[in-house]
Amino acid sequence: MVWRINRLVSGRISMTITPLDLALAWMPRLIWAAVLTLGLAAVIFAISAVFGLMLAMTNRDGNKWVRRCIEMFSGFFRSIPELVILFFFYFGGRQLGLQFGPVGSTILAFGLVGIAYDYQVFKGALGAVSNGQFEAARALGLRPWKAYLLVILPQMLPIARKGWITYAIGTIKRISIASAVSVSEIMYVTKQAIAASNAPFLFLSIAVGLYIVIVMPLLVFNERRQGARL
Amino acid sequence: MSFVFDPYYQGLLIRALGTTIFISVVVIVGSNILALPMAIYMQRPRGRLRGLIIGYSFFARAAPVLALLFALYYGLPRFGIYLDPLPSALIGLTFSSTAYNLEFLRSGYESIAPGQMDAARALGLRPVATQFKVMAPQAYAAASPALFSNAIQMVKGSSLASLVAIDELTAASTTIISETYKALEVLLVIACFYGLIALAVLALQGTYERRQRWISPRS
Repeated sequence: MVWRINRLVSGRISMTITPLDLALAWMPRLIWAAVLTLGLAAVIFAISAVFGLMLAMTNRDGNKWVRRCIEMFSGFFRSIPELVILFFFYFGGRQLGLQFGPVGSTILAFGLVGIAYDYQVFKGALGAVSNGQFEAARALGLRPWKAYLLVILPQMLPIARKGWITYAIGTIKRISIASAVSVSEIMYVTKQAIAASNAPFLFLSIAVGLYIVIVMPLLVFNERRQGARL
Repeated sequence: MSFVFDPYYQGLLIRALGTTIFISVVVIVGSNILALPMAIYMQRPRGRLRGLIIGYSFFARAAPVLALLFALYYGLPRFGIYLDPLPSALIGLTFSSTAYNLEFLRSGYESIAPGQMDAARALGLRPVATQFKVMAPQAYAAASPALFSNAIQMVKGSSLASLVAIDELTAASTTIISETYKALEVLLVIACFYGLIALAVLALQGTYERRQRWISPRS
Protein backbone atom coordinates (compact mmCIF):
# COMPACT_ATOMS: atom_id res chain seq x y z
CA MET A 1 0.00 0.00 0.00
CA VAL A 2 2.69 2.43 1.06
CA TRP A 3 4.72 1.44 -1.96
CA ARG A 4 1.78 2.13 -4.24
CA ILE A 5 1.15 5.54 -2.75
CA ASN A 6 4.84 6.37 -3.07
CA ARG A 7 4.79 5.36 -6.67
CA LEU A 8 1.66 7.37 -7.24
CA VAL A 9 3.15 10.46 -5.58
CA SER A 10 6.51 10.22 -7.31
CA GLY A 11 4.71 9.59 -10.57
CA ARG A 12 2.72 12.76 -10.11
CA ILE A 13 5.75 14.83 -9.23
CA SER A 14 7.85 13.67 -12.16
CA MET A 15 5.03 14.66 -14.51
CA THR A 16 5.56 18.10 -15.98
CA ILE A 17 2.44 20.24 -15.75
CA THR A 18 2.15 22.76 -18.56
CA PRO A 19 0.05 25.92 -18.20
CA LEU A 20 -2.32 24.41 -20.76
CA ASP A 21 -2.89 21.36 -18.52
CA LEU A 22 -3.59 23.66 -15.59
CA ALA A 23 -5.99 25.81 -17.57
CA LEU A 24 -7.82 22.77 -18.93
CA ALA A 25 -8.04 21.21 -15.48
CA TRP A 26 -9.72 24.31 -14.08
CA MET A 27 -11.78 25.12 -17.16
CA PRO A 28 -15.00 23.30 -16.17
CA ARG A 29 -15.09 25.05 -12.80
CA LEU A 30 -14.32 28.40 -14.42
CA ILE A 31 -17.06 27.93 -16.99
CA TRP A 32 -19.56 27.10 -14.26
CA ALA A 33 -18.41 30.16 -12.37
CA ALA A 34 -19.06 32.26 -15.49
CA VAL A 35 -22.52 30.69 -15.77
CA LEU A 36 -23.19 31.58 -12.13
CA THR A 37 -22.01 35.16 -12.77
CA LEU A 38 -24.37 35.38 -15.75
CA GLY A 39 -27.27 33.91 -13.79
CA LEU A 40 -26.75 36.29 -10.89
CA ALA A 41 -26.48 39.18 -13.34
CA ALA A 42 -29.76 38.18 -15.04
CA VAL A 43 -31.65 38.04 -11.73
CA ILE A 44 -30.14 41.34 -10.58
CA PHE A 45 -30.88 43.07 -13.90
CA ALA A 46 -34.50 41.91 -13.77
CA ILE A 47 -35.03 43.08 -10.17
CA SER A 48 -33.34 46.44 -10.68
CA ALA A 49 -35.02 47.19 -14.03
CA VAL A 50 -38.55 46.40 -12.81
CA PHE A 51 -38.30 48.21 -9.49
CA GLY A 52 -36.18 51.03 -10.90
CA LEU A 53 -38.83 51.66 -13.54
CA MET A 54 -41.61 51.52 -10.97
CA LEU A 55 -39.79 54.04 -8.77
CA ALA A 56 -39.18 56.33 -11.74
CA MET A 57 -42.90 56.24 -12.60
CA THR A 58 -43.83 56.84 -8.94
CA ASN A 59 -41.39 59.74 -8.86
CA ARG A 60 -43.07 61.33 -11.87
CA ASP A 61 -46.60 61.01 -10.54
CA GLY A 62 -46.02 61.17 -6.79
CA ASN A 63 -45.99 64.14 -4.43
CA LYS A 64 -43.00 65.99 -3.00
CA TRP A 65 -42.48 63.70 0.00
CA VAL A 66 -42.63 60.51 -2.02
CA ARG A 67 -40.03 61.98 -4.35
CA ARG A 68 -37.76 62.96 -1.50
CA CYS A 69 -37.91 59.47 -0.02
CA ILE A 70 -37.05 57.89 -3.37
CA GLU A 71 -34.17 60.30 -3.92
CA MET A 72 -32.80 59.58 -0.45
CA PHE A 73 -33.01 55.84 -1.06
CA SER A 74 -31.25 56.21 -4.40
CA GLY A 75 -28.60 58.55 -2.99
CA PHE A 76 -27.86 56.22 -0.09
CA PHE A 77 -27.37 53.10 -2.18
CA ARG A 78 -25.30 54.94 -4.76
CA SER A 79 -22.82 56.37 -2.26
CA ILE A 80 -22.12 53.29 -0.11
CA PRO A 81 -19.67 50.68 -1.48
CA GLU A 82 -21.33 47.48 -2.69
CA LEU A 83 -19.02 45.48 -0.44
CA VAL A 84 -20.39 47.23 2.67
CA ILE A 85 -24.00 46.65 1.58
CA LEU A 86 -23.14 43.03 0.87
CA PHE A 87 -21.69 42.64 4.38
CA PHE A 88 -24.81 44.33 5.70
CA PHE A 89 -26.99 41.49 4.46
CA TYR A 90 -24.43 38.74 4.97
CA PHE A 91 -23.26 39.54 8.51
CA GLY A 92 -26.10 41.81 9.59
CA GLY A 93 -28.77 39.37 8.48
CA ARG A 94 -27.18 36.72 10.64
CA GLN A 95 -27.33 39.05 13.63
CA LEU A 96 -31.09 39.41 13.12
CA GLY A 97 -31.43 35.66 12.67
CA LEU A 98 -32.02 35.94 8.92
CA GLN A 99 -29.77 33.65 6.93
CA PHE A 100 -29.66 35.11 3.43
CA GLY A 101 -26.66 33.02 2.50
CA PRO A 102 -23.93 34.21 0.12
CA VAL A 103 -26.03 34.11 -3.05
CA GLY A 104 -29.13 35.60 -1.38
CA SER A 105 -27.09 38.45 0.12
CA THR A 106 -25.49 39.11 -3.26
CA ILE A 107 -28.86 39.32 -5.02
CA LEU A 108 -30.32 41.57 -2.30
CA ALA A 109 -27.31 43.91 -2.13
CA PHE A 110 -26.71 44.25 -5.87
CA GLY A 111 -30.46 44.33 -6.53
CA LEU A 112 -30.91 47.32 -4.23
CA VAL A 113 -27.89 49.15 -5.65
CA GLY A 114 -29.15 48.31 -9.15
CA ILE A 115 -32.60 49.72 -8.36
CA ALA A 116 -30.97 52.93 -7.13
CA TYR A 117 -28.98 53.34 -10.37
CA ASP A 118 -31.68 52.14 -12.79
CA TYR A 119 -34.09 54.56 -11.14
CA GLN A 120 -31.77 57.42 -12.14
CA VAL A 121 -31.46 56.12 -15.71
CA PHE A 122 -35.23 55.70 -16.13
CA LYS A 123 -35.98 59.01 -14.41
CA GLY A 124 -33.80 60.80 -16.94
CA ALA A 125 -35.39 58.93 -19.84
CA LEU A 126 -38.94 59.64 -18.60
CA GLY A 127 -38.01 63.30 -18.34
CA ALA A 128 -36.91 63.23 -21.98
CA VAL A 129 -40.34 62.09 -23.19
CA SER A 130 -42.29 65.25 -23.88
CA ASN A 131 -45.12 66.15 -21.54
CA GLY A 132 -47.55 66.31 -24.43
CA GLN A 133 -47.29 62.55 -24.84
CA PHE A 134 -48.55 61.99 -21.31
CA GLU A 135 -51.38 64.45 -21.83
CA ALA A 136 -52.29 63.02 -25.23
CA ALA A 137 -52.44 59.50 -23.77
CA ARG A 138 -54.74 60.75 -21.05
CA ALA A 139 -56.86 62.68 -23.51
CA LEU A 140 -57.34 59.46 -25.47
CA GLY A 141 -58.84 57.98 -22.31
CA LEU A 142 -56.08 55.40 -21.79
CA ARG A 143 -55.76 54.04 -18.28
CA PRO A 144 -52.43 54.97 -16.62
CA TRP A 145 -50.85 51.51 -16.98
CA LYS A 146 -51.98 51.27 -20.59
CA ALA A 147 -50.66 54.76 -21.30
CA TYR A 148 -47.25 53.72 -19.98
CA LEU A 149 -47.25 50.39 -21.78
CA LEU A 150 -48.43 51.60 -25.18
CA VAL A 151 -47.28 55.21 -25.39
CA ILE A 152 -44.56 56.13 -22.91
CA LEU A 153 -42.38 53.00 -22.64
CA PRO A 154 -41.82 52.53 -26.40
CA GLN A 155 -40.51 56.09 -26.53
CA MET A 156 -38.58 55.94 -23.28
CA LEU A 157 -36.70 52.66 -23.57
CA PRO A 158 -34.56 53.64 -26.59
CA ILE A 159 -33.46 56.74 -24.66
CA ALA A 160 -32.67 54.72 -21.56
CA ARG A 161 -30.86 51.96 -23.45
CA LYS A 162 -27.36 53.36 -23.46
CA GLY A 163 -27.24 54.34 -19.79
CA TRP A 164 -28.84 51.08 -18.77
CA ILE A 165 -26.35 48.92 -20.67
CA THR A 166 -23.39 50.97 -19.41
CA TYR A 167 -24.51 50.32 -15.87
CA ALA A 168 -25.27 46.65 -16.63
CA ILE A 169 -21.69 46.13 -17.84
CA GLY A 170 -20.45 47.60 -14.58
CA THR A 171 -22.73 45.28 -12.62
CA ILE A 172 -21.35 42.17 -14.32
CA LYS A 173 -17.86 43.21 -13.29
CA ARG A 174 -18.93 44.26 -9.82
CA ILE A 175 -20.43 40.83 -9.12
CA SER A 176 -16.77 39.81 -8.68
CA ILE A 177 -17.05 41.57 -5.30
CA ALA A 178 -19.33 38.73 -4.17
CA SER A 179 -16.22 36.53 -4.02
CA ALA A 180 -15.64 38.22 -0.65
CA VAL A 181 -18.61 36.32 0.79
CA SER A 182 -17.58 33.05 -0.94
CA VAL A 183 -20.01 33.10 -3.85
CA SER A 184 -18.21 30.82 -6.30
CA GLU A 185 -18.33 33.20 -9.26
CA ILE A 186 -15.41 33.86 -11.62
CA MET A 187 -13.09 35.75 -9.26
CA TYR A 188 -13.64 33.30 -6.40
CA VAL A 189 -12.74 30.28 -8.51
CA THR A 190 -9.81 32.23 -9.97
CA LYS A 191 -8.53 32.92 -6.47
CA GLN A 192 -8.84 29.24 -5.58
CA ALA A 193 -7.01 28.27 -8.74
CA ILE A 194 -4.21 30.73 -7.96
CA ALA A 195 -3.90 29.39 -4.43
CA ALA A 196 -3.76 25.81 -5.68
CA SER A 197 -1.46 26.29 -8.64
CA ASN A 198 0.60 29.39 -7.86
CA ALA A 199 0.09 30.61 -11.42
CA PRO A 200 -1.56 34.02 -10.87
CA PHE A 201 -1.16 35.49 -14.33
CA LEU A 202 -2.46 32.45 -16.14
CA PHE A 203 -5.71 32.36 -14.21
CA LEU A 204 -6.18 36.12 -14.01
CA SER A 205 -5.77 36.26 -17.80
CA ILE A 206 -8.40 33.55 -18.18
CA ALA A 207 -10.72 35.42 -15.80
CA VAL A 208 -10.30 38.70 -17.65
CA GLY A 209 -10.81 36.81 -20.91
CA LEU A 210 -14.08 35.40 -19.61
CA TYR A 211 -15.23 38.87 -18.56
CA ILE A 212 -14.34 40.26 -21.98
CA VAL A 213 -16.30 37.47 -23.69
CA ILE A 214 -19.33 38.21 -21.48
CA VAL A 215 -19.13 41.99 -21.75
CA MET A 216 -18.15 42.30 -25.41
CA PRO A 217 -21.63 41.79 -26.97
CA LEU A 218 -23.11 44.43 -24.64
CA LEU A 219 -20.26 46.83 -25.35
CA VAL A 220 -20.55 46.41 -29.13
CA PHE A 221 -24.34 46.73 -28.97
CA ASN A 222 -23.95 49.91 -26.94
CA GLU A 223 -21.36 51.53 -29.21
CA ARG A 224 -23.61 51.08 -32.23
CA ARG A 225 -25.13 54.33 -33.35
CA GLN A 226 -28.50 55.11 -31.83
CA GLY A 227 -29.88 55.85 -35.28
CA ALA A 228 -29.28 52.27 -36.39
CA ARG A 229 -31.90 50.87 -34.05
CA LEU A 230 -34.85 48.81 -35.28
CA MET B 1 -23.30 51.08 19.68
CA SER B 2 -20.92 50.77 22.62
CA PHE B 3 -17.93 50.09 20.37
CA VAL B 4 -18.12 53.69 19.16
CA PHE B 5 -17.10 54.89 22.64
CA ASP B 6 -14.25 52.41 23.02
CA PRO B 7 -11.00 54.34 22.47
CA TYR B 8 -9.40 51.28 20.87
CA TYR B 9 -12.09 51.04 18.21
CA GLN B 10 -12.19 54.83 17.85
CA GLY B 11 -8.49 54.81 17.00
CA LEU B 12 -8.99 51.93 14.57
CA LEU B 13 -11.89 53.68 12.84
CA ILE B 14 -10.13 57.05 12.59
CA ARG B 15 -7.01 55.47 11.10
CA ALA B 16 -9.14 53.44 8.70
CA LEU B 17 -11.09 56.54 7.68
CA GLY B 18 -7.76 58.29 7.09
CA THR B 19 -6.60 55.44 4.84
CA THR B 20 -9.87 55.46 2.88
CA ILE B 21 -9.66 59.22 2.35
CA PHE B 22 -5.97 58.94 1.42
CA ILE B 23 -6.64 56.21 -1.15
CA SER B 24 -9.64 58.10 -2.57
CA VAL B 25 -7.77 61.41 -2.90
CA VAL B 26 -4.68 59.83 -4.49
CA VAL B 27 -6.76 57.82 -6.95
CA ILE B 28 -9.08 60.72 -7.85
CA VAL B 29 -6.21 63.20 -8.33
CA GLY B 30 -3.91 60.66 -10.01
CA SER B 31 -6.47 59.37 -12.48
CA ASN B 32 -7.52 62.88 -13.47
CA ILE B 33 -3.92 63.98 -14.02
CA LEU B 34 -3.12 60.86 -16.08
CA ALA B 35 -6.32 60.99 -18.13
CA LEU B 36 -5.92 64.59 -19.34
CA PRO B 37 -2.82 64.19 -21.58
CA MET B 38 -4.28 61.02 -23.09
CA ALA B 39 -7.59 62.75 -23.78
CA ILE B 40 -5.76 65.67 -25.41
CA TYR B 41 -3.68 63.26 -27.48
CA MET B 42 -6.80 61.42 -28.64
CA GLN B 43 -8.03 64.61 -30.30
CA ARG B 44 -5.47 64.10 -33.05
CA PRO B 45 -7.06 62.30 -35.93
CA ARG B 46 -3.84 60.37 -36.58
CA GLY B 47 -1.39 59.45 -33.88
CA ARG B 48 0.89 56.49 -33.35
CA LEU B 49 -0.25 55.95 -29.79
CA ARG B 50 -3.96 56.02 -30.58
CA GLY B 51 -4.22 52.25 -30.89
CA LEU B 52 -2.31 51.80 -27.66
CA ILE B 53 -4.56 54.18 -25.73
CA ILE B 54 -7.73 52.64 -27.17
CA GLY B 55 -6.46 49.19 -26.23
CA TYR B 56 -5.58 50.31 -22.73
CA SER B 57 -8.95 51.97 -22.26
CA PHE B 58 -10.82 48.89 -23.46
CA PHE B 59 -8.80 46.50 -21.31
CA ALA B 60 -9.03 48.62 -18.18
CA ARG B 61 -12.79 49.01 -18.56
CA ALA B 62 -13.44 45.36 -19.40
CA ALA B 63 -11.43 43.86 -16.53
CA PRO B 64 -12.95 44.02 -13.05
CA VAL B 65 -10.97 46.17 -10.62
CA LEU B 66 -10.65 43.15 -8.36
CA ALA B 67 -8.81 41.23 -11.10
CA LEU B 68 -6.34 44.11 -11.46
CA LEU B 69 -5.81 44.29 -7.71
CA PHE B 70 -5.24 40.54 -7.52
CA ALA B 71 -2.84 40.71 -10.45
CA LEU B 72 -0.73 43.29 -8.63
CA TYR B 73 -1.05 41.63 -5.24
CA TYR B 74 -0.48 37.99 -6.18
CA GLY B 75 1.20 38.48 -9.54
CA LEU B 76 4.02 41.01 -9.07
CA PRO B 77 5.95 38.92 -6.51
CA ARG B 78 6.32 36.29 -9.27
CA PHE B 79 8.53 38.77 -11.10
CA GLY B 80 10.49 39.50 -7.97
CA ILE B 81 8.74 42.84 -7.48
CA TYR B 82 7.68 43.23 -3.88
CA LEU B 83 5.41 46.23 -3.47
CA ASP B 84 3.67 47.09 -0.22
CA PRO B 85 -0.08 46.44 -0.36
CA LEU B 86 -0.93 50.15 -0.32
CA PRO B 87 1.07 51.27 -3.40
CA SER B 88 -0.05 48.23 -5.36
CA ALA B 89 -3.69 48.93 -4.54
CA LEU B 90 -3.21 52.59 -5.50
CA ILE B 91 -1.72 51.54 -8.86
CA GLY B 92 -4.56 49.08 -9.54
CA LEU B 93 -7.35 51.49 -8.65
CA THR B 94 -5.76 54.37 -10.59
CA PHE B 95 -5.15 52.14 -13.62
CA SER B 96 -8.84 51.32 -13.81
CA SER B 97 -10.35 54.74 -13.05
CA THR B 98 -8.00 56.58 -15.42
CA ALA B 99 -9.62 54.72 -18.33
CA TYR B 100 -13.09 55.90 -17.31
CA ASN B 101 -11.93 59.48 -16.82
CA LEU B 102 -10.19 59.31 -20.20
CA GLU B 103 -13.46 58.32 -21.90
CA PHE B 104 -15.46 61.06 -20.15
CA LEU B 105 -12.86 63.71 -20.99
CA ARG B 106 -12.65 62.46 -24.57
CA SER B 107 -16.38 62.91 -25.10
CA GLY B 108 -16.04 66.28 -23.34
CA TYR B 109 -13.46 67.33 -25.93
CA GLU B 110 -15.59 65.99 -28.76
CA SER B 111 -18.48 68.18 -27.62
CA ILE B 112 -16.46 71.38 -28.17
CA ALA B 113 -17.52 73.28 -31.27
CA PRO B 114 -14.92 72.72 -34.00
CA GLY B 115 -14.46 76.45 -34.52
CA GLN B 116 -13.03 77.01 -31.05
CA MET B 117 -9.59 75.64 -31.91
CA ASP B 118 -9.33 77.74 -35.09
CA ALA B 119 -10.60 80.82 -33.27
CA ALA B 120 -7.94 80.42 -30.59
CA ARG B 121 -5.27 80.06 -33.30
CA ALA B 122 -6.60 83.07 -35.16
CA LEU B 123 -6.28 85.07 -31.95
CA GLY B 124 -2.59 84.11 -31.93
CA LEU B 125 -2.74 81.99 -28.77
CA ARG B 126 0.15 79.58 -28.36
CA PRO B 127 -0.72 75.84 -28.42
CA VAL B 128 -0.29 75.48 -24.63
CA ALA B 129 -2.51 78.49 -23.96
CA THR B 130 -5.05 77.18 -26.46
CA GLN B 131 -5.23 73.87 -24.62
CA PHE B 132 -5.44 75.27 -21.12
CA LYS B 133 -7.37 78.51 -21.60
CA VAL B 134 -9.78 77.52 -24.36
CA MET B 135 -10.09 73.78 -24.80
CA ALA B 136 -9.69 72.29 -21.31
CA PRO B 137 -12.21 74.55 -19.52
CA GLN B 138 -14.88 73.69 -22.09
CA ALA B 139 -14.09 69.97 -22.04
CA TYR B 140 -14.25 69.94 -18.26
CA ALA B 141 -17.52 71.88 -18.24
CA ALA B 142 -19.08 69.19 -20.42
CA ALA B 143 -17.47 66.23 -18.66
CA SER B 144 -17.76 67.39 -15.05
CA PRO B 145 -20.98 65.55 -14.05
CA ALA B 146 -19.51 62.25 -15.24
CA LEU B 147 -16.12 63.00 -13.67
CA PHE B 148 -17.66 63.82 -10.30
CA SER B 149 -19.85 60.73 -10.25
CA ASN B 150 -16.79 58.72 -11.21
CA ALA B 151 -15.00 60.28 -8.23
CA ILE B 152 -17.71 58.82 -5.98
CA GLN B 153 -17.20 55.50 -7.73
CA MET B 154 -13.51 55.72 -6.78
CA VAL B 155 -14.36 56.35 -3.13
CA LYS B 156 -16.53 53.23 -3.29
CA GLY B 157 -13.82 51.36 -5.18
CA SER B 158 -11.36 52.00 -2.36
CA SER B 159 -13.38 49.46 -0.34
CA LEU B 160 -11.99 46.75 -2.62
CA ALA B 161 -8.54 47.45 -1.20
CA SER B 162 -9.77 45.64 1.93
CA LEU B 163 -9.64 42.42 -0.10
CA VAL B 164 -5.90 42.83 -0.71
CA ALA B 165 -4.89 43.33 2.91
CA ILE B 166 -5.27 47.08 3.38
CA ASP B 167 -6.75 48.37 6.62
CA GLU B 168 -9.22 50.87 5.28
CA LEU B 169 -12.80 51.40 6.45
CA THR B 170 -14.32 48.20 5.10
CA ALA B 171 -11.47 46.09 6.46
CA ALA B 172 -11.86 47.85 9.82
CA SER B 173 -15.55 46.96 9.78
CA THR B 174 -14.83 43.24 9.36
CA THR B 175 -12.21 43.43 12.13
CA ILE B 176 -14.62 45.09 14.55
CA ILE B 177 -17.47 42.75 13.56
CA SER B 178 -15.32 39.70 14.22
CA GLU B 179 -14.48 41.06 17.70
CA THR B 180 -17.85 42.49 18.79
CA TYR B 181 -20.40 40.51 16.71
CA LYS B 182 -22.33 43.76 16.21
CA ALA B 183 -22.52 43.69 12.44
CA LEU B 184 -25.47 46.03 11.88
CA GLU B 185 -24.20 48.82 14.14
CA VAL B 186 -20.65 48.65 12.81
CA LEU B 187 -21.77 48.66 9.18
CA LEU B 188 -24.16 51.55 9.79
CA VAL B 189 -21.30 53.64 11.21
CA ILE B 190 -19.10 52.67 8.24
CA ALA B 191 -21.93 53.52 5.83
CA CYS B 192 -22.24 56.96 7.48
CA PHE B 193 -18.52 57.57 6.92
CA TYR B 194 -18.82 56.67 3.24
CA GLY B 195 -21.97 58.78 2.98
CA LEU B 196 -20.11 61.78 4.42
CA ILE B 197 -17.23 61.37 1.94
CA ALA B 198 -19.76 61.15 -0.92
CA LEU B 199 -21.49 64.29 0.38
CA ALA B 200 -18.13 66.07 0.43
CA VAL B 201 -17.58 65.16 -3.24
CA LEU B 202 -21.11 66.33 -4.06
CA ALA B 203 -20.44 69.62 -2.25
CA LEU B 204 -17.29 70.08 -4.36
CA GLN B 205 -19.37 69.41 -7.47
CA GLY B 206 -21.92 72.01 -6.35
CA THR B 207 -19.17 74.59 -5.82
CA TYR B 208 -17.65 73.83 -9.22
CA GLU B 209 -20.99 74.13 -10.99
CA ARG B 210 -21.84 77.41 -9.26
CA ARG B 211 -18.51 78.84 -10.35
CA GLN B 212 -19.12 77.48 -13.82
CA ARG B 213 -22.44 79.31 -14.08
CA TRP B 214 -20.70 82.44 -12.84
CA ILE B 215 -18.09 82.23 -15.57
CA SER B 216 -20.34 81.19 -18.45
CA PRO B 217 -24.04 81.73 -17.67
CA ARG B 218 -25.07 79.97 -20.87
CA SER B 219 -23.92 76.49 -19.84
